[in-house]
Amino acid sequence: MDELERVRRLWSGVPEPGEDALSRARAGLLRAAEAESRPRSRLSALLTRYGPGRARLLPGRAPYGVARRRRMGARLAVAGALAAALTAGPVVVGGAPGTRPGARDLLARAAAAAAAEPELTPKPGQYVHTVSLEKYTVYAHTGKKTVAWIGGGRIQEWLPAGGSGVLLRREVENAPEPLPGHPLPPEAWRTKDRTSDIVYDACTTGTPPELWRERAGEWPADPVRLRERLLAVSAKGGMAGRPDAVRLWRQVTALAGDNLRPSLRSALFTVAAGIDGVTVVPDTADAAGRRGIGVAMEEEDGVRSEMIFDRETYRYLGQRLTSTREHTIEIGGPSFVRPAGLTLVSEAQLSIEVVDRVPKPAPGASRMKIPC
Amino acid sequence: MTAVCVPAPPAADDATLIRRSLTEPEVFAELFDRYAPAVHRYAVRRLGPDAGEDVVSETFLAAFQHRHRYDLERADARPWLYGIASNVIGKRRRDEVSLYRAYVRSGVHPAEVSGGLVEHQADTLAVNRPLAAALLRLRAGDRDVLLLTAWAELSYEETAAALGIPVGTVRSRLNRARKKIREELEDRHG
Repeated sequence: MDELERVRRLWSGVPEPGEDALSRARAGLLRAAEAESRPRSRLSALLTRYGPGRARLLPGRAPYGVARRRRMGARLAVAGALAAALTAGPVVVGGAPGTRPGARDLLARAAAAAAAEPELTPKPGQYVHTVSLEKYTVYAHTGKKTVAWIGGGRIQEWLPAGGSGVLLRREVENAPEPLPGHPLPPEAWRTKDRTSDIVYDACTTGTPPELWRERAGEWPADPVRLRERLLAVSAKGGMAGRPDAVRLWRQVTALAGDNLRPSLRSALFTVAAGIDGVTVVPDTADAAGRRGIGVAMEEEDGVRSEMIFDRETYRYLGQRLTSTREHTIEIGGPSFVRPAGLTLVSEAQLSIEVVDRVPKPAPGASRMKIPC
Repeated sequence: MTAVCVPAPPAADDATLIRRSLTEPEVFAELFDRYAPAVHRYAVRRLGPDAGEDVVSETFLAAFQHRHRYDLERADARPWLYGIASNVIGKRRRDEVSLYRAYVRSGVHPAEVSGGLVEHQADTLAVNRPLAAALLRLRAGDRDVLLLTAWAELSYEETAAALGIPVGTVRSRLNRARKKIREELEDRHG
């Protein structure tokens, strides 16, 4: 018997736990799921409810905005049937007044608009500072029922140029808004103006998801090659086997919210122009209330995702996720029926600039370190 | 008599679950149900019975909070979860060392319900005590690699992904760990 086999047998009589042994941990996780999309002050209410002994089980408020970004973002995939569109001819930005472009035309114009944007060139030690707005549906239990409202905040990120250094994400929560057809519950106000800082450590910032800009630095800005790349990275793993169009759309929308270099962003929209099943949304709005024209795809899980562009300049404004069917939300308490047609998440890109410094994180900042 | 087998519906892979959990957070509980028992057992083997649920709690809460960073290209979430668990366990190194020391003295792992093996108890102890002593002497990084491989049954590639290190480093750490164990066993058996 070799050493490894001996180690394998060492204390192999330790059994797997019964359900009881895990019930507390499982309940803690469910509370975190419940708490995720609502203000941190709700956690103190939970603390009261579950007792201080459980305090450590309760997480700080999850970085929902980031989650959102990744949800819009953890997608880098590619689609199938579009090569033809990729060879579209020259594009004129700004259609004739009164014409409504189709999705391909609209995305081609967005591609041309992106290509005309100035390039950001941060030097090592500098930071790319982005400002965006996010809105999302918040659920909370109040006694016997589950209530919901629209929460959100202004999010700033400082991303270190060169991929090393501190990455700071700061969210300042905005005033809540009522969900259509629902009164605004008092709980919704508890975290207005609250600032949440998250600091990602160097190890973490070295990994791709927070630094798409860095990661995408080497990606081809040629639409045909970019499309191949997007299809290749989504060919295995969770997206494997999905239709090319879905894979491509996910990846495009994931990247679109990031501050890509103009040529790459342009190529991205050109790829999007060739995705089957993308439709035009004539009138929509981003999280900042800026009205625009959108392109959308129905996703498989009862959600429609949209990219929104300025109606005149075709500049990218933001994204929006809308429910397309009724869905019952169950988060460890009374269920909540989420209607169809609800905006689940929306995002608005407000500004991006190069700065020399990152602000000092708040004393209570969350520090994130997970395996690279 | 013919047994009728109803094939289980194909389960969603972990990446799909995690992705769904981004819009429906409660879905993450399914990942918990899949892997919490194994992570619990792994933690108890390393830290003793009192730590199991705390490690599971911290691991899954951290995973939940970071799920938006999960690489959705990876269908199997075990390396990711064990990587987080390794960090959580790493913060309790003192408990781990105490457990191994106590075992070397007493020959009893407090969570083991039986010998678990057909070997004679005395024989088992004769091997296991030096093994525990060897585990004590391993560098933390080497021990993580050894136990992820031996107890969590991760492949070299999965261990590398879990710890965020190259596969070559996994091999070299494992070799070093095995060498130390061999030396310890030879010392004791003389």
